[in-house]
Amino acid sequence: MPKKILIIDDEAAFTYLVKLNLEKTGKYDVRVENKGALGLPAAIEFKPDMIFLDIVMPDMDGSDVAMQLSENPVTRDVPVVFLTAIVEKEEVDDNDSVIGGRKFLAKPVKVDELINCIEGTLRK
Amino acid sequence: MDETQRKPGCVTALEFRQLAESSGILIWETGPEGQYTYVSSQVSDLLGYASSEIIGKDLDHFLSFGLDDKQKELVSGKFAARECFDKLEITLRRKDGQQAFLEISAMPRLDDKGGFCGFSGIIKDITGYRLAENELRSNHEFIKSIIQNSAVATFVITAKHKVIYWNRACEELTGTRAVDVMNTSMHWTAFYKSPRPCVADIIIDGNVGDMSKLYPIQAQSELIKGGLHSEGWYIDLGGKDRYIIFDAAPIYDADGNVVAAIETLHDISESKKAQEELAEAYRQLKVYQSQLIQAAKMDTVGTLASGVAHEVKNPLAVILQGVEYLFHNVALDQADNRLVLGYISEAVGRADRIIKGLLDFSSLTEMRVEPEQIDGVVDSALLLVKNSLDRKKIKVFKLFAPGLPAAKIDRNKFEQVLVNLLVNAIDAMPEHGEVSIKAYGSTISGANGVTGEAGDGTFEPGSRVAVLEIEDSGPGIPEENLEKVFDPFFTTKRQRGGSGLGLSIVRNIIDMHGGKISVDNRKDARGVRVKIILKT
Repeated sequence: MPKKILIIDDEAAFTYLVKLNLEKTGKYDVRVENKGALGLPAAIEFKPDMIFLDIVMPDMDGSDVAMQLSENPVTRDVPVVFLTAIVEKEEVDDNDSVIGGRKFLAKPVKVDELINCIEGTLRK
Repeated sequence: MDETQRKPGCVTALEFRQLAESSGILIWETGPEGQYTYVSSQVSDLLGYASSEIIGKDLDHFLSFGLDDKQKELVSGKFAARECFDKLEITLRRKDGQQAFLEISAMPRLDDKGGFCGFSGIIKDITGYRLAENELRSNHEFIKSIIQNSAVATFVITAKHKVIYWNRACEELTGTRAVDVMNTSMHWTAFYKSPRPCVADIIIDGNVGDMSKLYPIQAQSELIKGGLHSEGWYIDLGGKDRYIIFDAAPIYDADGNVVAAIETLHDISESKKAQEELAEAYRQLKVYQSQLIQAAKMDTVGTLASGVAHEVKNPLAVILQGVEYLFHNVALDQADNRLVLGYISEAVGRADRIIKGLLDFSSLTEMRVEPEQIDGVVDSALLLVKNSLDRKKIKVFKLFAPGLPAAKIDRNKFEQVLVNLLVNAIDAMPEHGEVSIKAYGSTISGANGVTGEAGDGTFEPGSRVAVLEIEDSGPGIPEENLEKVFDPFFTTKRQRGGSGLGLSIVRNIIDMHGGKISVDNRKDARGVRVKIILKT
């Protein structure tokens, strides 16, 4: 049974390619949402095992989306990883991917890094 | 016998007088009782009295005007004893009131039976000589007085380096008494602890070439040909540290030979201090100005960088994902495809590192400077590059001087500096290379002759600093590149993904610390030496 991954990011080309790359492995079922404000409904409907969430989005900030997700009983236990360009790889690496209690991945990111992150997160 | 009668082989008194009149010699005679019986006309001319006013007067009548008591006693005694006297110097007042300086000699005159006939004598007029001598003495005293009373500290040495003048102002300024140096060649003791030529000595010896060796600040006089100038700080001169301007000039005789040299000393300590304070204030102002400009630049770059970073990284993320997709979906058996995708992937990595460099720039404005021990920061930085060091089996030698002063640094920023420098060193070296890290305290050279690190105006002269030197055993930097190493985007590692911002960031961080960094090729061996000077 493939793991269900939701990516909430306004960069459509990026989410499209991530979906292609992850699903190509056969291990993941990826859903894409390009509007921050639709992140929560998408999560409620899709019921992902894990969510990649961008931070800087035009309609709704990723941190607000994360707040909504954590407040909703359906989604609050779904692990969220911020996938964003506002942090540096070194920052993420130096802090074992956790900054302020939240897990981060820095863009640009390689497919292997995404997979390692998913596997690591879901193992916990 | 009548004295006027001639004896064979002798001249008569009359003949003698005629001879005296025509010879121009001043002659006088007395009778046995001591009254003048004859004076040659020249005597009358000299004294302004007619012969008739002298003849018949007592012997000491005129002489008594110019004799002191001791001389009078001497003359009276000689006359009474009828003995000769020779070259008795007297001063007379002429009839017109003028002084005349005379030298008188006399001998008793005897008849052929040995009877005393009186005295005969000659007078030598030495007025001109004595007046000239007095004038010379007076001139000498005047010159001495000018030098002695001058408010400018002055001394004069002869061609044999003997001090002949050392005026009161010079005593006051140097604290060396005239009596201790006059007629000696010990004038250097006033200024130095060991024998060393003063500027006046250099003029006497004509070794102008010595000036530059002995005096860092020196010049030829613009006013006096052959004059020399020097200046500098002198420690504990006359009880305090003084900045002295020395001006020396040759003194010539009538034939143009250097017979002496005169040297003047001006204490301009106060104005020099004011000047140095002004220069320091100006330097500080320039530093603040440059820091302000730098901060403004950083602010602009920072704002730009953080804005650009996000916007650029998103498309980079797309490209990277796209490349990775294509890696699995194009025919990679065609070598070109693999190569092209590899290039694109590398380019994304490079662009990402450049953005990181720009972001590092942007974070430079926030500094948290505290006194830190450099050795501790060095150890932290070494830990961060440990893997790279181990991978290339590079040996690290550390030498921290005892009593190393704490440097005023932002620990994190300085750690970044060290990591950048160490990474550069590691990249430059082959396997089994060596890195040496040396740290010690020093003093910035400058005022009061203190020698130490060259501050180049970055530091206050005489201030304590911490110095860090990092040396590698790599191939060194080509001379033509040395000037460019701090330029942003200059790199020799472009092919290996170098952004060219590393040393640029290092320099900016050191500048923000008010420190100094230099990169040179080592003189003792192959490799690069980076030297950092920091405030303490």
